[in-house]
Amino acid sequence: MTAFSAILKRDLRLARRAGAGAGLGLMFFLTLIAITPFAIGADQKLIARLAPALLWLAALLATLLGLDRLFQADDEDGVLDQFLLSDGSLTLLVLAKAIAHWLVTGLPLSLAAPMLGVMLAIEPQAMLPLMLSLLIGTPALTLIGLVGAALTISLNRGGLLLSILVVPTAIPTLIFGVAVAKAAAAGQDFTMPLMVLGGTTLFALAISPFAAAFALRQARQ
Amino acid sequence: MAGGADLSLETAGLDHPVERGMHWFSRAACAAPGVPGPRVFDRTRGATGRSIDHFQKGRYTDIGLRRSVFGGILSVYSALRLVASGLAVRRGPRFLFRELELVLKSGEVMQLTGPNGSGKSTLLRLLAGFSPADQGTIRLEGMDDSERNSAFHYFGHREGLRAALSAGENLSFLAGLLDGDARRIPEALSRLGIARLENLPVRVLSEGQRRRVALARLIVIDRPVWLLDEPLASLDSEAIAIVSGLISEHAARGGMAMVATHQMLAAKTTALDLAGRREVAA
Amino acid sequence: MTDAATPSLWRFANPAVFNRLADRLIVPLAILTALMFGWGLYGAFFVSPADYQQGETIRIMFIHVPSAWMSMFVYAGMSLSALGTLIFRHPMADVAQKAAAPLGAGFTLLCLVTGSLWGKPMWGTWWEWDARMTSVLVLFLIYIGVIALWQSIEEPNRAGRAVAILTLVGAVNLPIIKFSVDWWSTLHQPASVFRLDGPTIHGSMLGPLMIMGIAFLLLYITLLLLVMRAEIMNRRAERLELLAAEAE
Repeated sequence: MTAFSAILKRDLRLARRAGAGAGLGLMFFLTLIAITPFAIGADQKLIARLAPALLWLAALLATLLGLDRLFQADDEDGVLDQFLLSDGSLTLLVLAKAIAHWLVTGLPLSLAAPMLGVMLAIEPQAMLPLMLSLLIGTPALTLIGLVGAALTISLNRGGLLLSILVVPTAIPTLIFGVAVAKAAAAGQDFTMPLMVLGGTTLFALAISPFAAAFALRQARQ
Repeated sequence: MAGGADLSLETAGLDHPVERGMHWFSRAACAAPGVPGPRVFDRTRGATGRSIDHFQKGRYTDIGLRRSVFGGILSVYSALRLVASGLAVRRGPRFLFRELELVLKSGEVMQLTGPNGSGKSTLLRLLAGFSPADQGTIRLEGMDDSERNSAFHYFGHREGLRAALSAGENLSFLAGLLDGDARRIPEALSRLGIARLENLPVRVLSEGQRRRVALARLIVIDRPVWLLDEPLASLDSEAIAIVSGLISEHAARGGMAMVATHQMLAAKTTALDLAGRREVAA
Repeated sequence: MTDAATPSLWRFANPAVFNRLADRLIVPLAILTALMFGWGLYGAFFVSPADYQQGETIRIMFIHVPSAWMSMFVYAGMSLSALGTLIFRHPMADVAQKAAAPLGAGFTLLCLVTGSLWGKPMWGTWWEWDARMTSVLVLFLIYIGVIALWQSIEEPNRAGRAVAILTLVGAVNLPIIKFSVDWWSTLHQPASVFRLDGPTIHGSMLGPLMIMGIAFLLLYITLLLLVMRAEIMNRRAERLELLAAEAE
């Protein structure tokens, strides 16, 4: 457990440091949302209808685009070798990295979503469910991306490849995440999609760390 | 050099069979009168890396337990043997080496030499367990397989430091990751002559300073088997003396080290030369 | 440029001289800023009349408009500093630029937030994708980009040059962005949308607005001096730490 908390602590500290690209995911999220109306047009009603989808797509991209560096940076400076010499299981260590990543990407992004929701004219009653769906769903995005990050660890243009590999797997999260916000905006009950969304996250939690750890070991050979 | 050159370093008197599952503290020590041996023996979990730590934290205070008589050397580690047999690594059409046999025992320092590309780094990474060999087996006798990871220190070209963190932060992270003792960081840094660098971010350090910081983890994290890949590169003569001294001390305490370097080490070493072992694969 | 002999503005481009100057100026400037704000706000709330169309909400204008001015003014200043960085390679230009970016972003955010607060009673919505607000939003994004770049490159000199290039590219692009946003806006927006600039500004509002403008400018200069001084100190501390480490 000490190894787990050591990684968590270090990654959070790195995220606060200059040079680690702290908050870049959030900034990317803001930028993406801010430019979509230019593509769609200033039709407030249309924007409002598309808003949940836009927010979810932006969340997906913001999560994935930074992920390629997650293990690469550790690999380049040789820290990853030390991971393998740790007492703790690599699966747990990988999970610690995922948690740290979510805390500096998915969490702030979910919390910022209502503000962007205002700009996108989302129905007020859908604001909280939307935030909730992002809070519950974005961990799945990080976890799924984790496997991609491990697979593309030694590749130069890993970011693009990672997105291609990972996006299809994120489809269920996307479907049910948007469904929650849509149902809430229409004043319907959104318990069902929310439960399924939580299910996809738990499923990703059960599978991804193992897959990522396995991929990392393979990549070492 | 034909395969199967006997590189085993067994010396009469130093050799004693060690059962699997035994811990740091050799049977001899545990069986010594007045020592609560069973306490250690019963620990089937055999938290090897940890038990040393527990001693340092004063959990077990009986000094008798800390000593194990090993070939006349006062040792804090149990008798371990790193045994590789029939080792082969293939790179494309040729073998870097084949049928490599080696035995490294507690208290020994093995100096690994050979021209560039002869597989020194590969061998060390193999021994650390980072990658599997194409043929052959590597065993660490005297220790549970499950504990294997926590027996090794690996120090490579990439030092394992993050540029944005300070020297101290880097070391305390590694101490947490590898179950070391973060309280020993100041001591380790001053031993390596870089006490004043503790709070500087690693990115501003020179190559040599960075390597000193990285080497400080050998002190902060207590592990019996050191696999060091060119630990003396980029170091000045003062630092070379310090690191060379660390290796000697480690061996004197019953640890073992395998060092890839062409420099002279202070410790008495056995040699393993990988030159001329390349073979075209059949 | 002959130095020393002719007293010129360049003298202040020396960090030590600058710091001494900043030390002397900051307190009087802060007091002056507070006085101007007091005067301006008094004028805004008690002297200036409520708008016949917009009622009391018009008073947000006294914050909104000056911050909009400042958001552009700061960027213009940053562009000049960027030239200083690239042409003269002067570290003080770096420092000025680095200090200005978060301040500019702050003014821009203030402009956006007050605009949004104003928009709610006026349009019935917090946010309207209208040409003006959207342009300001784009400016805010550029500021964010500049700050992010500063934070991502650790070595100050390299970061300074990279940011200078980005700033200038942004400056060249801003008019184009503004033009296209205007075009985009007329394409999508019904012409009847109420504009924040309103028809004309009544004379009794203009006075307090000007005073508020000056107050904002003073606030900016005070904060800029403070942040620049801190940045200079920071770099000096870092340098000293390094020297100390090397000296062992």
